[in-house]
Amino acid sequence: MSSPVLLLEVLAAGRRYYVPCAHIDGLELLRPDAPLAHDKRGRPRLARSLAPLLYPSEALATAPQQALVVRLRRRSVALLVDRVEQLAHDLAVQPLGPLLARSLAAPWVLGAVAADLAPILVLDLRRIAADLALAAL
Amino acid sequence: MSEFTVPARVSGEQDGADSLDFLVVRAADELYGLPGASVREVMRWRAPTPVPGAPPVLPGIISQRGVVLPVVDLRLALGLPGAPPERSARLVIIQHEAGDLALFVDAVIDLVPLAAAARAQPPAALDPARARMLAAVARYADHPLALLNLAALIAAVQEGL
Repeated sequence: MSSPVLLLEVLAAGRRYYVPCAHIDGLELLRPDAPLAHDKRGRPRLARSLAPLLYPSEALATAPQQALVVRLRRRSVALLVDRVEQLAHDLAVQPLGPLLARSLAAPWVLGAVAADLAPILVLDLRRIAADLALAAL
Repeated sequence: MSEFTVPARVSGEQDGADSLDFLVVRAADELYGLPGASVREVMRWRAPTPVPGAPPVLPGIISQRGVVLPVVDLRLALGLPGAPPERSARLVIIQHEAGDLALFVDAVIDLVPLAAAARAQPPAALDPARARMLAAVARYADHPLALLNLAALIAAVQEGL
């Protein structure tokens, strides 16, 4: 079990997730269909809804959403969620274990927090952003 | 719970040193035996949290007593057609050196001791992919009972079947 980290709880397509605060460089309000824009430093900014990335069957939201902004070296990526809920302290992130971790199509999940009956996934937002940025090249 | 009659004693069993306990479970309409020594707990089905990018054989994770466990769909692991959980569906918590896991089965039928004499080698004519996952075969209430080799089953899941 890894040491506790500061996590941000977010809601996307009805599902709760945690993301490490250290992965987020900013929070903004954006529309999922917003055209490619530039961030304050002039880098191209890519905006994508998080839920359909994780589960392709999820419908693309059209309402304004909260954007979790991840700044990479050459561009920034805005990952859109329905709501940003709260900060969570002192939660132990458990790894998924080798059976599951080795079977994933993409290593986008850092682990899970054993909350009540249903665990909540902890997303590797920087990895998701980096993969999106690579795919957009 | 199931359509199978629970017998008072299993044919060929004896309470000797060579007797091993097996948890009899159902996947589709087939019966399988899980080594009792590896079974930690049986719990009612509850929907797992799906993990993005995971194959169907690993439908998600559950939290059990503060521990996050992957769920393995036994039907899919055995190459049987998948199906939504029935009322009788259970999660069998398995303790294994590769990591604990929750095995999704259609029903838990019984816990039975089986003597070595009641356990036979899997038939040679069996599909090699299926035979690999079996440690032995036996009988349970006049039904064939396939005793699973959990290490082989987990290895097959890890290898993407």
